[in-house]
Amino acid sequence: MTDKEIIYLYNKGQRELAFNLIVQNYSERIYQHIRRFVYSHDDADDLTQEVFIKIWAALPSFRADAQLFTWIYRIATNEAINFLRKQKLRTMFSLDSSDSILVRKLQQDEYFNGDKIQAELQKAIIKLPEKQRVVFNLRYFDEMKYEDIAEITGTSVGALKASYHHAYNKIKETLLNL
Amino acid sequence: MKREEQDILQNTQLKNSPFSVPENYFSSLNKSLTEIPKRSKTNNTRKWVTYTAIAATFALLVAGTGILLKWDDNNSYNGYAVAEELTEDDLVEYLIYTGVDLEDFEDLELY
Repeated sequence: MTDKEIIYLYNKGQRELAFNLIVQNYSERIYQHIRRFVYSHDDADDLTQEVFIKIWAALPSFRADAQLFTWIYRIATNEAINFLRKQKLRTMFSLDSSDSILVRKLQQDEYFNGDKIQAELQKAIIKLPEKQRVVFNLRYFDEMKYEDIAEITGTSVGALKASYHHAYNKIKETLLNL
Repeated sequence: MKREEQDILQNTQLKNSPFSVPENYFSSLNKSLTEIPKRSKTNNTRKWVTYTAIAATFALLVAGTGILLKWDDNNSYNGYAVAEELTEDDLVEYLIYTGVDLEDFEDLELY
């Protein structure tokens, strides 16, 4: 079922059914999207629950002219970024940096099945500034259009292209120097 | 050309998710997520019960205070009412009874 059909169902009063269809269509993608930011399975699980609670609560205010898919990704991206910001604030009072915490989570994660290069790729992504990280994840892994990323992040397409270009080159250089 | 070959990010294998999940994780996740509307209703009911209880307690407090004040008004000493019922003879008798001399009153300056 398409997003438009789901929203039609919701507006017709079939709210729970529409929400269940959103869960079916998006839960795995949203989990993976969040996991790429927070690395730990447990954190990603908690945040995915939070995202869907927010989706359910905010669905009545969803504008019919917006895209459901970018709206959901925006909620998920904000949730993941807020989590990382809080984590960063907590590390102000500790010896560990927020980056090193994420690297440790990645290394200790029993559900990380990547090889050495994939692990190094993730470590290089951790070092990126927040905005570059968001655009890199959405463009490189999800192969999203810049127009959609612009809707999710509220940034212009031009700025996103520049951010992606910088991020891509930084990561490429890091992996070349291994 | 050499630079292109060195672009490791072009390797599509890198785009595959390296993150796995516990067995049957997504089916249990979906089950939990689809319960959100029901949980939300329960939470709303709980919130409604809590707010109603707070409102009822507040109303009882206001009503109780009102009743107590009213009761206090009805039972408190009302000097004016008592004074209206007393005659001058009653006062003189009371003063004689207590041993206060009338001259003591004449010396008093009343404000």
